[in-house]
Amino acid sequence: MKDIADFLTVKIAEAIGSAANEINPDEEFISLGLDSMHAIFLIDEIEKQFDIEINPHSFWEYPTINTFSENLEKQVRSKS
Amino acid sequence: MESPWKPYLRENILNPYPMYKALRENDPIHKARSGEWIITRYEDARTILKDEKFSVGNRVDWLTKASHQYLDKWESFSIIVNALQSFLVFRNPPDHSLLRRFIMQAWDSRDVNQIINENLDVLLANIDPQDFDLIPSIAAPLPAMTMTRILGLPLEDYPYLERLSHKMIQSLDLYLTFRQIKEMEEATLEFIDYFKKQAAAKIQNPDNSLLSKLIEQSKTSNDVSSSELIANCFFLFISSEETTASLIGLGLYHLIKNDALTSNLNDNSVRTAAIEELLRYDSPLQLIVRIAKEDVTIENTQINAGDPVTICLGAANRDPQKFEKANELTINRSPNHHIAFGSGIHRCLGDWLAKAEFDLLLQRIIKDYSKFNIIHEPIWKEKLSIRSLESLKLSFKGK
Repeated sequence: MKDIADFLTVKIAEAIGSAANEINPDEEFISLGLDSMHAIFLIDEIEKQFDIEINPHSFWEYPTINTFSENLEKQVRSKS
Repeated sequence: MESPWKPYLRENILNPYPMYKALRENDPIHKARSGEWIITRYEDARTILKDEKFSVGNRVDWLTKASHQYLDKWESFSIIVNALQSFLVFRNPPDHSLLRRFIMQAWDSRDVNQIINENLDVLLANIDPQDFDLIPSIAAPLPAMTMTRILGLPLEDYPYLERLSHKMIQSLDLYLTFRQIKEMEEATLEFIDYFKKQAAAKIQNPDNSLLSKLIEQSKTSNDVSSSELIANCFFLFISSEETTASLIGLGLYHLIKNDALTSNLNDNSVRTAAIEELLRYDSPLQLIVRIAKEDVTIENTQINAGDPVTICLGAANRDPQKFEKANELTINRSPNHHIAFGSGIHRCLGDWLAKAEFDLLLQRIIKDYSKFNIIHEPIWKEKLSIRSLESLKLSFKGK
């Protein structure tokens, strides 16, 4: 989970133009300044990096770095 | 409070009405987690659709923005942006009215009933009435065949155009994936290429078709460029396809389920009222997006300039403030001012075509059969933007 969360934090920092250590992993994506367009590209990057498939809805269903990566982790574990 | 707007949950996609009700009763102008406003009351929906302070084109702006921010990944996605930008549905005044008038002028509806009836002859001859799946055998091909012939394209091309159209209709999905955008790009390229060839053929051999008339009209008009003309042929195809298939599938399903598919529908005015009620009761197009051009206050809620607004047509059409017994199918409902086709300047221009296709099909089946059964419960397409069926097994028995 740490991997996904770290990766997502770095990518979000790039997208919104701030430093990774300034991003609160419990803040909602929308208040970090992310929108549905960012969601598409972030999901695509995570899918490629970790070789998993992500339902695009989950970005808004689990709308923080921590909840999103926890959910993905669960998904990965249940498959393996 | 937890947001009731969960359009990603399967249960809400299969039946969105309880979710709509919760929103309409508790938070009718709802700010979603993903940033857009969700509108569920009839009056608010109608106000926004008619208000010139709200414009269309949200997804186009969004794709344009994306293509600037993600240039490295975007490559040639500007192809989709350019095509979508030309679509009538994404145009704002004043060029919206020029383009709309341009299409309406060329569109002669006189021969359409004949086209639909001939298509029905072909499709109905190929089913086993005692056991058939309505969706692949009639609901899906009828609109595709009909638009293919209205435009004057070779009829055998309709399955190909139907496939491309399915890829493009994904642009209405609430949450897109990168893969879907790629598919849309490929479909756009194929569509443009196809229509360019067909247009060239019509220039050589003009006929009575809509495509030929649009080309003829464009020679004497400066309002519409050739790339706009092609993009809008493509738009007419996409917008008439899945929506009409949805009306036919849902319409017959609800009629049979409510024991309302009877010889009473032989009467033209009874049938017309029933079709309007089916459109209200389970509207094919469920969601429409608008974007606020300036700050607007709706019922004490401020919507800021630039905010996207998702209007839930299906929720508005079941608003008990507007419709008595809104959750019931009342096939002789009158008056019935539903907004299944939208409202205002962008109100669907093909509404009559969708209704004619369903109407002529209904006339045919009540003439030939008297007993209608659902063999098993339908399989739904799991999309909220357009509510439609994947499969509906029916059995028709004779008089």
